[in-house]
Amino acid sequence: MAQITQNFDVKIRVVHPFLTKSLSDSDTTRIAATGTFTFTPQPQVDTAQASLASEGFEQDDALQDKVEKVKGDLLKAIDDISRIEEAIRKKAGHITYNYDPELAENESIANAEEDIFGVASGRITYDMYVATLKFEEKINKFIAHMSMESDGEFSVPA
Amino acid sequence: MSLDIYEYDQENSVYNKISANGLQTNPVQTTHNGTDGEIVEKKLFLRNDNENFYYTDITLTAVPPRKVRVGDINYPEAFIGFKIVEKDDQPTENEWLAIESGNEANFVVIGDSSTGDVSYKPFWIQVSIPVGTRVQTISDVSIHQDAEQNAVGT
Repeated sequence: MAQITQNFDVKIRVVHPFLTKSLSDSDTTRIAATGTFTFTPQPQVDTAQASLASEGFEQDDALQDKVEKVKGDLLKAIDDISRIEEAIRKKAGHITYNYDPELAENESIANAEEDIFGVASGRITYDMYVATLKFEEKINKFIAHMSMESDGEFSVPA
Repeated sequence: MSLDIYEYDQENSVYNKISANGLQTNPVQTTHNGTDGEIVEKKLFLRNDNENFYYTDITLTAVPPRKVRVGDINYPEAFIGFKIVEKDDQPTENEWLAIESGNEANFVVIGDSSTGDVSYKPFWIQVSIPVGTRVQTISDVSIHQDAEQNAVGT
């Protein structure tokens, strides 16, 4: 016969209430005792379906790549056209129309050049022609505006 | 020693031996809400690990054998409660109230002179933490075991 003695270890953890909401031993004991808590596992991912879905994404990626390429090509083409148009415009600026303002058959064009540019020089460049068109456009807008302001009573003086 | 305390792990369906004498490798652990105060009750088991022995005059005592004062809380009547009772089913509130903190629980005998009983003998502990206890770990408490060890067949 022998006397035996032991001291078994006890650890008491005092924690913040948030921790005990999910971890407390009393909760565990209560749940085990009452059986009121049941854990329902989430459905597992269907790997075959996930694989198909992934393939769909890959196909979408390929299509998106094609769209991006077409978009890039289109932007480049527009840029090229803009540069070509600018080049043509520069060259056209040097095109000149020469006429004799003294001839009766050129009277109307001579009068128009004099009215717009102050003198009938007998030499009209493409740039002057474009400027004339823009000037005409502005005059037409001005006439339309004035006509609205005066309820259609406005007219260009002779 | 061959008379040990165990805790049942329901998840893995195994009995885990509680460490002793300050090793703290596998203590009985309770977790409490210190802000609101909380009582935790836990079922443990006493077991003879060696069928060549039987035990008499077995006592389990909550140590220290009085209420443990929580020193840093704001009112004087705040103590940790630590109680032990030999029982299979979870004790009722009234049964716990009838037991003083720091009490001594008696198991009398495990086995006899002809047979070493190696079954798990259930008992319950109750640890109560008062309202307003700061976050901390308290490990200067233990379950003190005294017993007479006898050889089977003598």
